Amino acid sequence: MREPEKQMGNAKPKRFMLSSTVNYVLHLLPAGGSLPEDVWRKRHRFLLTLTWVHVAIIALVGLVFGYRWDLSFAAWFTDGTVLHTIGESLPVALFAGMAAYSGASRAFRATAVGFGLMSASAILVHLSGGYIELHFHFFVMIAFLALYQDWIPYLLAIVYVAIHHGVIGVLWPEAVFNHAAAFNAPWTWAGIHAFFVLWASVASVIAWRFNETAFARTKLILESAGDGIYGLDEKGKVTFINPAAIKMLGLDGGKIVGKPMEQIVHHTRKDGAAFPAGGSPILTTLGDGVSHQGTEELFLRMDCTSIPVDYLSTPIFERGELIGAVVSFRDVTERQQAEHALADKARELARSNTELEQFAYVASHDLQEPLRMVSSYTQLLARRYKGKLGSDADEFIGYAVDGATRMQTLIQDLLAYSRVGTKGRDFESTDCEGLLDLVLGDLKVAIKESGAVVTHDPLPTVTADGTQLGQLLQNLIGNAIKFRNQEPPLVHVSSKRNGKEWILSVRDNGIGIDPQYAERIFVIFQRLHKREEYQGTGIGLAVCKKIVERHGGRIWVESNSDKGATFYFTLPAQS
Amino acid sequence: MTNNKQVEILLVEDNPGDVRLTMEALKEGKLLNRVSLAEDGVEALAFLHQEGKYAGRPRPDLILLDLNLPKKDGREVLAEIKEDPELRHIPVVVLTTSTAEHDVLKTYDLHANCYINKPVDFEQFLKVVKSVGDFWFSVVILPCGKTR
Repeated sequence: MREPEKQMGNAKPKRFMLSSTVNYVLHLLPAGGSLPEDVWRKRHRFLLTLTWVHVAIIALVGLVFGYRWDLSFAAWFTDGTVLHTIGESLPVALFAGMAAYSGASRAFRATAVGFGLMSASAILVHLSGGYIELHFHFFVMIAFLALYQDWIPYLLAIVYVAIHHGVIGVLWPEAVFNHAAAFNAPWTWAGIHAFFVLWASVASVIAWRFNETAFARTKLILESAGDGIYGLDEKGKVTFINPAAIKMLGLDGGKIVGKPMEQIVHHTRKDGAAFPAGGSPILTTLGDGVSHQGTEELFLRMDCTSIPVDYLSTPIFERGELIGAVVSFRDVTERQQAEHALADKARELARSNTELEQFAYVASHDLQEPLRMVSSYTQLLARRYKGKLGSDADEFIGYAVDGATRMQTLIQDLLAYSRVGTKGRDFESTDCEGLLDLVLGDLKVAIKESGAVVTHDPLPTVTADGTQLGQLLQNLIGNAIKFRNQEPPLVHVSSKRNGKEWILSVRDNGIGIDPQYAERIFVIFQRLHKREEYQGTGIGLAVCKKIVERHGGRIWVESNSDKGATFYFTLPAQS
Repeated sequence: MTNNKQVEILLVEDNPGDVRLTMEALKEGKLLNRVSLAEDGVEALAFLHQEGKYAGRPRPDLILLDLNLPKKDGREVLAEIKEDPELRHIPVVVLTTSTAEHDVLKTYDLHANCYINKPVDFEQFLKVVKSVGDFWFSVVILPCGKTR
């Protein structure tokens, strides 16, 4: 096992070079099978006709030019007789006959046409008496042979030219050559003729290769595209269709090209309702020459199931004339399912949120009733029996009253929090500056007591629930005053436009917030300080967050301990 | 009307805790009054129309009405009082824990004379009851009932 491996290892570079060179050459050569059957047949019909035309022309040369009427047997082989020209047309007719035989392979028939046309050229040169200009006929015919896109007819045509010129050159040198050098060395000159024919062939092949590469690339793109793509002619018949389209439409891939579009795909509206006859937007493109597109409309497949598709129908123009359309489409089943699932989730979430808010509202509302009993009667106890039941009783009653009072505050805060969602008003155009003035009026006492200075930049007009926006500003400014240092609070409200939103900010010079708590402070009932230090239940910022989120914005804080804090929130700008 | 005249009050309230609390508050408010109690809406209307066991009971000078009542709720009671020409002059103070806006609007629509939220804090409740008493019996001049 090792030995061959070793050999392979040694031989590999050489073999690789050889095989790659061979591969490269083979790759350059056109393979006859690459043409679609119908295209090949069309071209073959043309070239065969061309061959028959030559048969006729050659046969008619004697009549047209008034050659001698000599009906003797020898006349067949005598230049300048009608019979001779008719005889000359027979080999071409023979090749044409072979090429017309539909049972033969493409290569055989193409080669027969090649031989026929080469013979016709040689005969025309011969009939002209060897005029050099008639040689051009060869090269015209070589160019026509390129239509077969096959290398075999070319190769055989070259061989044919070499052998024909060689043999005829030996037998009747004047029939193919017109100078002394060639008369003396017919095979050499036959080779020279074949050599030029070879290069004419090579040039044709190269030109064709460039063409084919570009064509193959386009085809590759079409075939590997994930989207379904098909073409229509101006009458709505399919001109091509890619594999993705065949697969998505559940077609059998057989005879599709040439059929009217309605036979391969039935296109309906989103809800399955049919378009009026011929009213499919795809076909409309063929009428108005404008692109049409659709989203989530239905393509009915062959198996009677349907797929939702997004499609684009684009007109194709040739020299300003509408010649058809290209339709690309995409199966959006998965996207649609994902969207539906997402919508379901969103609905579910909204429902559960609403329920939760309702629950919080109802619970806190109903909790107030019994709480009122507890707190009222403990207070009544305190009024009537303070100092009469002993110091323990007084203390116990004190704690009971305090607890009930705190619970009451919590419930009211919870109510306020849930009201943001349940009792919100409609959004209206709201002038932030006017709102700020109102808020500062409400905070007058706190501002006066703390000696706070509140300043502001010009503030925008936004679309918002004014009451809630006021509450938001009041909470933020209230906090800025509440969490102050020894020095009097300096609070500044400013705004900045950021694309489609406004960023409003409230900056203070207070005690600041340790960045590690920057998220936590927005959670309901989360506090960073003892109750004795700063009053409050920890509801203010949670309400702020809820208000901002209800308005489709974000809220965050930037701060360092002792360096003050700046609260930012965004609101959508008015369009 | 003088301060030492007995004032007839009808308290319509189903919760005994609230009944007692209101009584205590009226007592502490040192208002000279006699309080009658109706525990649901039907009873309240029977009292006002002096029907059945309430025959011969005096018409109240003031009604303290809770909104959430069994059988017939406070809103219906209020509506009936205000539709009855015999009763509509009696001031009705709606006492409730509901601060829902539609409740407030609805009761004023029904011509409640005043709408008061029951405070959770007893001290505050005391103040409220006292001020209600002061307002209706000292400040406002009420029309004299036909019975007096």
